[in-house]
Amino acid sequence: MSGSGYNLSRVRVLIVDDNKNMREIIRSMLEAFGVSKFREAEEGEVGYKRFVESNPDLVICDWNMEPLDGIEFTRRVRNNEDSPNRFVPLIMLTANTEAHHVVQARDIGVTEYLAKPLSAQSLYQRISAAIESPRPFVRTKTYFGPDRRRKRKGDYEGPERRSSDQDAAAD
Amino acid sequence: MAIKGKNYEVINPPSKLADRVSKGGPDPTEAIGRADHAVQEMKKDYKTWLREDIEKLVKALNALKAASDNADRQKKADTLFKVSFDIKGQAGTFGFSILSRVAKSLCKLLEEKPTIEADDIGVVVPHVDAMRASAAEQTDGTPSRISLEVVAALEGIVAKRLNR
Repeated sequence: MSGSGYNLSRVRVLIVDDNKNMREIIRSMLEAFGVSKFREAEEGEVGYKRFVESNPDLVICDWNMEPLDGIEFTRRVRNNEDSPNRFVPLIMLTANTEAHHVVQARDIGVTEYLAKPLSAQSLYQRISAAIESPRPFVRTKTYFGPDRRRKRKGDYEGPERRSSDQDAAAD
Repeated sequence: MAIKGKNYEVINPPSKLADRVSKGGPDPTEAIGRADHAVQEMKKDYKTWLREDIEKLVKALNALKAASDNADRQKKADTLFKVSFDIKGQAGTFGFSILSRVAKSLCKLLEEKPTIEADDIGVVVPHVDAMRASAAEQTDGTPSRISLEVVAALEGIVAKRLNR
């Protein structure tokens, strides 16, 4: 195998999804991309344990899981003291497709959001984005995670719109 | 790196993922093509998984019908939601778009209606019937006009039920 694309053979991926079949689908796609190192978990509690043990380079996680869902799992990855890599790229892959779901996932620190049904192209694009354009992280009093502003314009001269800036301006 | 005078800190962390990736892998088109092929290969397995999911769906519907009160009904509706939610996500991945849309419509009802009442079962049943029929025919690919009309009707019923 030799081409102009990514060699992902050294990348370690953790897949957290309560549906065994879905884990198999994700794994098959990743294997086709050249990934060979996997850990899996069927819910967030076990998923976080595996995350701490294996310190993966990329996490793909579902939302709806019990007892610990993907939102709480992400919160632990980003905020727990024993998290081995709070900056890890985390792709949330879910059949929750409403806009408020996307906002909630973004606000908890998800790196990329991917709605099911899953396509090989969309999964590849999200992985490519995580490799090529890693987002800066932002820490505020209430948030730690990837910068939620995707487009950064160096020549922007308007007012700052972060809520913390607005609070400071009002003081 | 903290920005002076700001209530937030912007950090540019090193990317462990990027460090692990090198060039020399398959071209993106080739990699995506391989993954699509892998999904096609799994389609046979999916038909078995789908049969199992439909069995779970029918079982969950029967449990919902037999629920004794609103609390019990809600519990049974949660089980039905979970099965339908899995079908919604997986069916589309394998090209069963109608099945996925019907499952989505059922999930919308079960998720957005604050309480699932006895007369909501009349809306749930045609969804389960449509999913059974779609799975039995294993209609993937381009949906027929009739199946599109059926799914649009079901979505309309759910919208009405949620707005009343």
